Amino acid sequence: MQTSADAGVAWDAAFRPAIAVGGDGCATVSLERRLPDGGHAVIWSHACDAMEGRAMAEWMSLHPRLWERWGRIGVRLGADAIGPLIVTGAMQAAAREAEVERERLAQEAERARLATEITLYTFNPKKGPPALGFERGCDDETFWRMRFDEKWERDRVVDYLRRQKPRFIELEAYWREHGDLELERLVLSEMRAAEQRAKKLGIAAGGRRPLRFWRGEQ
Amino acid sequence: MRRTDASGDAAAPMALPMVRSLLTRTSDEIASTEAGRVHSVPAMEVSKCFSARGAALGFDGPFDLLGGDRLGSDGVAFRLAMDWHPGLMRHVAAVCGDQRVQGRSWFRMPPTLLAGPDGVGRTHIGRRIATEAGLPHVTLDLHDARLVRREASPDVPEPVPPLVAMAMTRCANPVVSVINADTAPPPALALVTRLVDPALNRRIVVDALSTQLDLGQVTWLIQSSAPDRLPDRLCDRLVRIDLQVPDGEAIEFMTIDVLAEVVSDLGLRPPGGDVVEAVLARVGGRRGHPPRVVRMRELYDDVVAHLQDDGAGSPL
Repeated sequence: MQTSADAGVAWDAAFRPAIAVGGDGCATVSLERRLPDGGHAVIWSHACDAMEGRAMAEWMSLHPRLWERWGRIGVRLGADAIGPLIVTGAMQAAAREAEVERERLAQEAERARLATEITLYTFNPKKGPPALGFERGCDDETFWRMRFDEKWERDRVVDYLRRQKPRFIELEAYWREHGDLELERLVLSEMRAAEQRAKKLGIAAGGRRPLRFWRGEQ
Repeated sequence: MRRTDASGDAAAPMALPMVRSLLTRTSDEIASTEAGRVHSVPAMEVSKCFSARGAALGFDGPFDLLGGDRLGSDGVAFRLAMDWHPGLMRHVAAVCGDQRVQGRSWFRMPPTLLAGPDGVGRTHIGRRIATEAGLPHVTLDLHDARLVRREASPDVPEPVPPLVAMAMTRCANPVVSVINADTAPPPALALVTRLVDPALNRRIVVDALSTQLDLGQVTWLIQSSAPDRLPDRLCDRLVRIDLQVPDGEAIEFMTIDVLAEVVSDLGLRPPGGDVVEAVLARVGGRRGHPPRVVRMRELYDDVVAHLQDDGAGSPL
């Protein structure tokens, strides 16, 4: 049987947790009181399976401020009074931990989902050039911004980009690989190609925004 | 009956036969299972009757000297564990050591002055010491009119409470908490001075019992919140222990002690963990912010009220 008193901390503490793990997969978690001769006396013990025992002993070792409290309750009021405190406390802690872990995983999943949710924004600042940009759902800032001298120039690109929503992820990957300028070049070249195709199809609008009434026809 | 001379007290007047006649009675041997060994209880004659009818209240015969099995390192001081009163803990540990070194296998503290503010828990300390030493505890109120009143026939003079307690328990070394010393009338203070004086308390004449008593093995704990106002004649005979109001987590530990005391006093079943937590939370909440001092009596009453409110800790 492997016996280990708690993690080597606070050996001189008046009370300390301990765990004894047997080869049969059973464990005994206990609270020990230090005796004047340096030995220890068990004032409370709880038999359980090894995994539960280790979790309980680990939780107990994380709360050294409670050892003396449990110990005094055990000494003065009996082991039955501290058993529920420790077992329930450990179970609640395990439940809390599981809940925190579940929330953390859910948040991570949500963050990962939002990271793939890319939105096209347009910007019309009072001071500064008009712009468009891509923003991830998990961020508050655009990761890519394209600036223009005139508003109509920006709208001409927006006419093209608003029909590329399914490709935003692909464009974001391209931006990550090549940077801001290369993405601008790609968008502009694709926009011009789309404009030419639209003209050939006879669906281009006149004026400065040929793709104004384009609906993505290829 | 096997007799053993166990008197070794430096202050003990060796000439007194009744003090020297400490008895170890085979019929009174008590198996002390705690230490896994048989512990024989010493005893002593506490009375010397000067009436042909014999001592009243059964003061004849040997009285037990208890607590001898609690003098070791795992004895009274270890069990007491009132770390928030370090001076008291050192004193109790030293007293137990002295008793062992001098071969006196029973518990006895020299007359002690427990100096501290009201509510610091002086009576609680007395009761805890008595509990952990396995001794009876009795309170001597110096405001008790019987202490100073001179009874005349047909009124029957009554002995002071510690003597009645000794007779009831047949214990020669109870723990006596002396209360209200600060406001006691001078005759009561004079009486208690005689009771604690090792040169006199082995020959206390008690007219009510028609006997002379040896109270030399009694543990006298005199409580005072203004020890400087006590007569020098009394203070000179006392070992002074200054008690501070506990703070921080010591309040919690003290509350656990009080909870155990209430459970024992009211004969309740030990409460479950949830009740203990609730009591600790309630006491913590009552201290407020900033925390105020909670007097021991208030704490005790609060714990009683909580246990009664919750219906927790049903009677045994």
